[in-house]
Amino acid sequence: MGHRFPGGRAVVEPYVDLLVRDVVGAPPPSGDGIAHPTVAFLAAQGGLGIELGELFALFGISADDGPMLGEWAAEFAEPLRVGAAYAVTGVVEAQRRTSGRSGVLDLVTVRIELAGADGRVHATVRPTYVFPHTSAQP
Amino acid sequence: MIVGEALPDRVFRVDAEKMKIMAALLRDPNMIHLDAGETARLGLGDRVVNQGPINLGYVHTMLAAWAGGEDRVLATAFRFRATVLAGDRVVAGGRVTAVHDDGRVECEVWLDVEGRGRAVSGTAVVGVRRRSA
Repeated sequence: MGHRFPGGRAVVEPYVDLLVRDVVGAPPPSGDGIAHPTVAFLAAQGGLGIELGELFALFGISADDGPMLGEWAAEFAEPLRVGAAYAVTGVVEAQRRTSGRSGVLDLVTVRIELAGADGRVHATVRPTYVFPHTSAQP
Repeated sequence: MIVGEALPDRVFRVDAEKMKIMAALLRDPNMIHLDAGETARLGLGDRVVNQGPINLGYVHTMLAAWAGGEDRVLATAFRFRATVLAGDRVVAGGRVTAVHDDGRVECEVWLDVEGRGRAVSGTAVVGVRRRSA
């Protein structure tokens, strides 16, 4: 817990908004410059400064172990805008272990903030990953 | 809007081709979204598994259509309860749980898989006053 990711910069590219809309059954862009809310998922993850596989590896997991997304939350102080650039910062906010029918699982929540050119946080995104516990994990 | 009001259902057919697009966008190396043999190996069924962001995206799309625009989606929180598979017919829906004087409306939201039940549950806050802004 408390691990800080390198972070970086995320630009909401028009083609990404267009493709996300196609994938999630939304209307095409209306021209108002507002990105589909699901684009926040990609901007947050893309700006974290590491690949998804590297994030898994931080917790001793590989894609072959079947990591899953357990929860996801977002708060928008402002809607994300197509063409805008955001400064992205991320930190492991919570880590807990649970056990159930699927065995022992580690739940890891990352808080990712997207700040606009004005320096304010426009969106806060919190994915919670579910990792099957392995002996390689702390 | 009143507490208890149902949000209009929105129906989607889950398409394996869309999963390929999302996998490329996310640079997601998890083969359960691309290779049905991998889902079988992991005991997740015989069809590829839809990505979580696509499932929550269906709900975002339903919310934005109901609220009158994507900028009116102020907050969402989702829990993924079950897998959604290629070929599934899913229904995004919701219900108003609170209406605030400042124009914020809280909702319970979900994504149900036809014949199998709830795959995603969650909450949302939308801002209805922005409609006239």
